[in-house]
Formats: sequence, structure tokens, C-alpha cells
Amino acid sequence: MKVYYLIFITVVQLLSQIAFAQNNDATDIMMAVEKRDVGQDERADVLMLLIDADGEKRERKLIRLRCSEGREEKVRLQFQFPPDLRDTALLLHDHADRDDDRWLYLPTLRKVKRISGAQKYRNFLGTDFTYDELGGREPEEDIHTLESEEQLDGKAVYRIRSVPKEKENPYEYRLTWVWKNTPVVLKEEYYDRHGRLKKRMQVLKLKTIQNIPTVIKREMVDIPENHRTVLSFNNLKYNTGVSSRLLHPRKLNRPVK
Amino acid sequence: MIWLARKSSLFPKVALLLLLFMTLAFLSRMPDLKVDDEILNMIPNDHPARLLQEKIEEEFGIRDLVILAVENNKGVFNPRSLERVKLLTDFLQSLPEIIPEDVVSLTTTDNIIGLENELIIRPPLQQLPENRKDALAIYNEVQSNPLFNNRIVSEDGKVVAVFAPLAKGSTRQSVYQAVTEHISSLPVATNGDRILVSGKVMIEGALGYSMRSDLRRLGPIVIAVLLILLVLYFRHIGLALLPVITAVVSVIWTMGLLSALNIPVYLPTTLIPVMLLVIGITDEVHLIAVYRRMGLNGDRHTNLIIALQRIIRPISLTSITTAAGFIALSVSPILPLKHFGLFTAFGIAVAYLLTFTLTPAYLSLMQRPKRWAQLQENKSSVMEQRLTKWAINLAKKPGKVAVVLITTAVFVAWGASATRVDENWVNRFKPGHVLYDSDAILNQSLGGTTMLYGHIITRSGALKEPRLLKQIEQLQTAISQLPKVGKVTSIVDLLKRSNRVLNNDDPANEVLPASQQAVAQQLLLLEASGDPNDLDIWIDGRQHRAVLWIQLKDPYASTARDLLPQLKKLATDYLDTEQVDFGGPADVNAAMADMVVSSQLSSLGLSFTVVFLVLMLLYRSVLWALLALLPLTLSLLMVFAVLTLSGRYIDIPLAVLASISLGLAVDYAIYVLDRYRSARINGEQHYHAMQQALIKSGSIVLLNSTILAIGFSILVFSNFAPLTAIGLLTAGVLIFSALISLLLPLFASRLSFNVAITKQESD
Repeated sequence: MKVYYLIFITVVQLLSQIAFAQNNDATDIMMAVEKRDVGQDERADVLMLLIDADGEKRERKLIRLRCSEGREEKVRLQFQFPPDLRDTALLLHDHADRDDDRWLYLPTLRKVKRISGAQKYRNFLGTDFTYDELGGREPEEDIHTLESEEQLDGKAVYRIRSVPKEKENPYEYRLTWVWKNTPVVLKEEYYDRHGRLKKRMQVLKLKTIQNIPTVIKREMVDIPENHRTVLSFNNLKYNTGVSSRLLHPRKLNRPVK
Repeated sequence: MIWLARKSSLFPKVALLLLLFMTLAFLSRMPDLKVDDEILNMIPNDHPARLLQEKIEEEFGIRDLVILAVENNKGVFNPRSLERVKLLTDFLQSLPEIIPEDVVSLTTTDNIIGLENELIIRPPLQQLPENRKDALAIYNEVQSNPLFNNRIVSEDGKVVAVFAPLAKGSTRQSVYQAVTEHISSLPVATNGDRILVSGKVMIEGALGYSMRSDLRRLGPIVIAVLLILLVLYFRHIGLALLPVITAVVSVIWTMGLLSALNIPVYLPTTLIPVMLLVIGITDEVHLIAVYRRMGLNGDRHTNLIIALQRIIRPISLTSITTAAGFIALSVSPILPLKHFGLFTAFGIAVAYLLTFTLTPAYLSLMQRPKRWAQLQENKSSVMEQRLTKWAINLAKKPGKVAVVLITTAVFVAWGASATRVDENWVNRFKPGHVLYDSDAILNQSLGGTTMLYGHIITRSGALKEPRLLKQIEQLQTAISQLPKVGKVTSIVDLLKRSNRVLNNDDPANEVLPASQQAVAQQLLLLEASGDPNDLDIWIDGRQHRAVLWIQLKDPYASTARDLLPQLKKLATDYLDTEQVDFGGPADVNAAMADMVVSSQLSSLGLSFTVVFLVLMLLYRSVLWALLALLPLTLSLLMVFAVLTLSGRYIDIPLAVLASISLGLAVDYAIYVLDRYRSARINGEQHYHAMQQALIKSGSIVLLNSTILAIGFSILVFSNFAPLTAIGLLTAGVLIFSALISLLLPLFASRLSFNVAITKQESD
């Protein structure tokens, strides 16, 4: 009896170790994505293209500044186009261990307002990306499993299945294709609570800038709505010495050039 | 046809086997029968009102809704009721047919709260309150927000609604069933909460569901009652079964064909089985009555053929006229009605075919009851004696009868002329039905459940101009002062709200932003604060199109119809060059009611003409044809007069009902008149011919109409208002047209006979 019990325990332990190892691999990969060295700071011109089901397009141009300190990341977005929105600015402080902070500056109001309470599953500025999907989501928030190693457009990739831990999340799971060469996410698919494909993110252009493989064009498609958002990053430069003062809420009302 | 009957009665088993095989083939297709309850599909897909609604809804991502609400007379803002709101919202979001992120509810729709240096953007009911005080704080929070007040939450806080949009291409049946089952599975609330159910998805789902479930429930009862009555009359179960069997077989063939052709069942086509049951039974009852009167002399085969030869003329005539009447419906622009006409005509043809195949085969296999030996062809029953007496009395005073008839005609024509055409889908349900009651409560407590859209089209970006927004604001105010208009909301309300919130939440700042830049930036804030669809239903991304959401306080088509010209005038008064189209569900409803009813009436007119032409061709006389149409005309007018006098109106089901009258009233007239004519042609004098017509055909007509009228009255017990109306009015039409048909020979004496026909027929 005791022998059987021991065997049982050993098997259970072995199995759980295998499962853990797998989990661990996938989590490691996702953590590598999160922790990849992308320079201290970054500056880019962003072209945001919103395309609806009828193919009608809306264009926005923004300046994007980023400053990182470990896993803490600060991003400033400032509108250049359309003219009505010029100098309107948004500041995001992305924390690894607590909710992100956000501030908004509307030039006509001449006031910086902190924005709180908004859910992370909400779409970002009317795009098809949610705050979460633009990088706000931390690897710790999901349970990751390595599903397979495969080829994606000639690149060797891991396919990882991530199941959110929180039950309010609108998705049942997400599939992520991570490049083996460098931990960069090349593709994502989001499946709703009924297991139907809801959104697909694809990297359209990858370019090495200052030795850092960089996604300079990607799109997100809302499958049922047939609505898409294309983000292009132009004139992207790393380590330009962006002053972290510009990423302070008090400086949000001063447009950067 | 007689040849077919001869073969069938000679080889009855072969005939029955063949028919059984055919019936099984059609029956096997029945499980594939599809159902389409979407009301919009009643209207042709190129109708301008439908195109406009679809265009607006497509452009702004507006979908049909499931509306659930929690009502409590003591107020919903307490922890338990609010928890119920949350649970209902979660349930709706969990349904695969619902777009979860577009569900509008206290737990999902963001409210922006403006503080000195902060904007809090979150749904008012993000966390369930612990106590009544916290619950009331939520009430106070949403009251000042026009996007919640009177839209999601009633002014008095006694009703809180949840709106769940149906995803594109989802079937409403499954949603309807899931929601209904879920709600009935919930334990009864002990705190006085009541769950209200409304929305187009639920109403349409319930329409189809209750119609079908009622027909399934009451259909067998109708058949059973008809059977009992037939058994009482024939005093023979086998004979009583025959008419019912032929009717059921024709229903199976028709519905099987629908399924085989991949045509879904629409609401009007749901009525086909009922129609065929009524029309199909008549021929067999007639035939059995004639067959029985021949007693046991002669063998079954010979007697059957003789009986068939005697009635082939009236049977053919009635089938042709009825089928022609229904085929005339096929010119209707409304697809479901077209199908209704064509397939009912097909069913009539099947029933006709069965009379010459199934019936002789069945009867030739059946032993005739022994008591038939005592039945003499000329021995009359009690009813026949009464009829004779009646005929004699009437024949003495044709003038008086004419006066009574003319008075009736004038009266019903007067009544009919005042009939209104209207439509109210909620009125399909009786008071006490959750949808009927919910709609009444929601119309009173929230801004109104029937939607009309004002679609504003202008230049790209023009909707950011404060001048135009100001004009829209004024237009909106003017519209909301029109009678029966509830709440009117637009992008103006969102902007006023955001302006206030951004400016220290001061009610004095609840005005439109001052500059174009301010409008653009606040739109960005609104866009940034939530799902893009939150903003998308008000204004498009390029700011050149916007929707005014006009909520109507009642769902009558006439309300929208009366409002439309006033709305158009207001739009030209307040706006300069911008184009405003008013459309949407209320408009389509009005257009559809007008279209269905008017097209139904005009195809009825056409049916009338066709039947008239067929009759004229047969009788070679305008007057005879007119006479045969008299019962139909009078009973139709009678239906309309009854509607007017009872304060009702013609709606879609009642317009369809008119066709039933067509199917029956002409038949009765033809039976009686034909008998009279053939008696006259055989040389009888008017008086005797009339006696014969009344005794031989009149008794059958009376019997037939009584049996069917009783059968139809059972539909009164339906939970579904149109079925009740159809049951009652059909019973009325049956009795009324049968009685008038009996009077026809009285007037026929004044009409001359065409000699040519006389000769032909006596051959």
C-alpha cells in the first residue's frame, strides 16, 4: 500500500514538475519579451491610421517619447495632427506592480487632468488597441503555456497560450507568437469568452535600429467589426537623451518639438 | 379527375401506399424547416425605409437590442436590487450572441466624474454597494448625467435597464430562449424586484415563439374538437377521420415543400396549416354527405364515383376560385405574404388531388355503416325540414329580406369605411404578458422604447463647429416638445456633459464647448474614456454624420407616421443646409404597416377580381358572378365594421385574415347557387329549386360552418392576441357568410339563365 502511495506521489510530483517546467519556459519567454533591452529612452513620430469596415480612413500623427527605468516605463504621446487636436497630450506611467497612472492635457482647457478608474480593457483613444494590448499588461497577469515551436513568415517562433488570471478579462485566452531569435512579439490573437477569434495583431515591419530589432509598423484588426488600426513609427531613435522631466505630468502642458 | 378517382377506388391499397410514400417524403423534410421571425424581413429589402434604417444602423454600428430591467416600487438603489442588475448584465454579456463590450448598463457604461485635477472614468456600479447609503450615492451620481438619467435609470430611481445589442448574424430565437429560460429559472425576488423584458430581439423572438407554441398547443385541440363534431354528425369514427386526414396530409405536403425549397417560415406562413385545415375539410364533408345520402344501394365503388360526379363541379369551382384568390396574393411585394398565397394555393391543389385519390381509396376500403340503409335520398332530417320551412317563409317576402340585407350592407360599409390602419407589435401580446407590461412601464419610466433616428449629414468635420452644434441642440429641444416624443439624445448631450465635467463639474458649465478645438479635444476625451462604440453610436469618426436618438412613448405605427412630417419641418426650420433623414425602427414599422396592409388589401382586390372573372366565365353572367360574391363582400365588410366598432384597427395579421374569408365565403355561395342552378336547369321551378338548394347544399354549408366555427373559437384561448382575433373573426365570417349564402337562391330567381350553358349542363 505504502509503495503504491509513494509511486503515486512521485508520479504526481513528476507530472507537476513537467507542467511547471513548461509553464516556466513560457513565462520565461514572456518575461524575456518584457525585459528586453530597448534602450533607456526613445523618440518617434507615430502615424495612427484608423480604418473602418467601409475602408474609410482617419489619420492621426503623434510624437511619442519613452523613458524606461527597469520595468517602469513612461510614455508621452502628443498630437500633431489633426490641427484641432494639436498639442493635446497623454502621459502614461506603466508600473509593473500596480495600476498604471495616466494624465491628459487638453490645450483648450489649459489644465492637466489625472485620469483614473478607466478600465484597462477599454480601447485606447478610439483605436482597436486596448491599454493592455499596447504594453500595459504584465507577464505576471497570465498563466502561460508553450504550445508549439513553429515557423511564422520564415521566422522560428514560439507559440504561447496565455490565460488571464482575472475573471473580468473579456478574453478566454491569447495566443502570442514570439520570435526565437530576439524576444519580440510578432503576432497575437485574442479569443473571446466563447473561444471565437476577436482580434488579431500582426507585425507588418521589423527593422533593426541602433542594433535593436524594432517593430516599426503593426496593425490590430477587430475581426467581427472588421475594423483595423495601423500604427507606424517613423524617425525612431533610441537613447536620444530624452529628458525624463518631459515625462512628468507638470510638463505635459508644454508641447515638445 | 374522375378517372383518377376510379383508379384509386379500384386499387385503393396501391393508391394509399403511393400517397403514404409521398407524404413520408414530404414529412422527412419537415425537421429542416427554418424559421425567420425578423419583422424587418416582412418589408422588401429595397424599400427606402428599410434601406435608410440599415444604412444608419450599419454606419453607426447600431444593433437590435435585448432590454432587461429591474423595477422596484421602493426604488432599485439598494444593495440587493443593484446586485440583480449586475447579475443580469453579467448574464447578458455571457451570451455568445451578444456583443459583451457594447452592453449598456450601470456596471459597464462609463461615467466621467470631474474633480479639480482629476477625471474619474468608470461605470457608476463598478463595485456593489454595501449599504443603502452607498447605493443612493450611485443614484445621485447618475441623475445629473443625461446618458444615464431617463435612459438607463428612471428619474425616480425605480427602474434600471440593461441594453444588450445582438451581434451581426445571430439568431434571435436562441437569445430569446436563453433569456426567457434564465429569467424563469431565477428565484422569485423577496424584496419586491421585478424583472422587465423588452427590446426588438425579445419582442420578435416572442412573436414567433408564442405563435408557434400556441399553434402547437391549440392545433391538436382544434383538430380534436373538429373530429368530435364530425363524429357526432357522421356517427362514424372512420368517416370523421377522413376530412381531418386529408387536411393534415395537405398541410404536410405544403410545409414539406416549403422546407424542400429552403424557404423559411415567416409569421404569416405560420398560418398556412390553419388555413388548409379550414379549407381542406369542406370538400370531404360535402362528398361524404352526398355519398351517405345514397345509402347502401349499389356497390361502394359505383356510389363513390356517382357521388364524386355530382359534386365535382362545385368542388372544382370552389378549389379554383379559392386557389385563384390565394395566387393573387403572389403579386404582393411582401415576400412572406407572397409565400403565404402561393403555398396555400399549393395546399388547396393538394387537397383537391386528395379528394380524388385518398378519399375514394379510403372510402372504398371502408364498410359503410349499416344504418345508411335507412337513409333515403329523399327522406329529410330535422335540420332539412327546418330549412325547408325557413325557405318557404323567406320566399314569401323577398322584399323584406332584401331590405334587411341592404341595410346590413350599408351599415357594414359605413363601419368599414372608418377603419384605421395601424400596427403595434407589443399589442400582439395580451395584458399580463411580461412583454406587454414591461413595454408600458418602460415607456412611462424611461424615455420610450421605440426608436426613431434623425440622421444628420453634413461636411467633413462640420460637426465640430459650435454654430452647427447649437442648431442641433435647438432642434433637439423642439423635437422633444412634440407629443408622444420621449427623450431625445445626441452628441450635443455628451459634449455638454464633458464640458461640465472638465470644468469643475459645475452645472453652469453644462453648455456646448466654446470653440471647434475644444469640441475636438473633448470628443477625444470621450473617445479615450471608453469603448469606441460608446461614441460611435452618436457621431462618426470624421465628424460629418451624427444621429439624433428620438425615443417614442408608444409603439404604434401611426405615432411615427404622424410625427415624420413634423420632424422634417423642424429640421428645415432649425438647420441651414444639413440634410436630416428620419428613419429607423419606428419609421420602418410605419412603412411596413402601411405597405403590408395596403398591399394586402390591393391583392385582396385582385383576388376578388380574379374570383369574379372565374365565376363569370363559368356562369357566363355578370349578375350571377356578383351574386356569388355577395357573401364574401358582406362578410369582409363585416370584419372591418366589427373592428371599427370595437375600437380596433387593421394590422398585419388581420389583413392576412381577410384571405381566410375569401377561402370560405365564396365556397359556400357556390355550393348553394350551383345546387339551385342545376335544379332549375333540370326543369324545377324557382320555389322547388330553392328548397332543393337549401336542403341538399344549405344543410351541408350550415353544418360545415358550424363545425369550423366551433373549432376556430378554440383559438380564443391563445395567449397570443392575433390568434385570438383570427379565431373569433374567422368563426364570425364562417357563420355570417354561410347564412348569407343561404339567402342567395332567393335573389337568383330574378336572374336569367344563359341558354347555351343550360344546354351544355343538361348534357
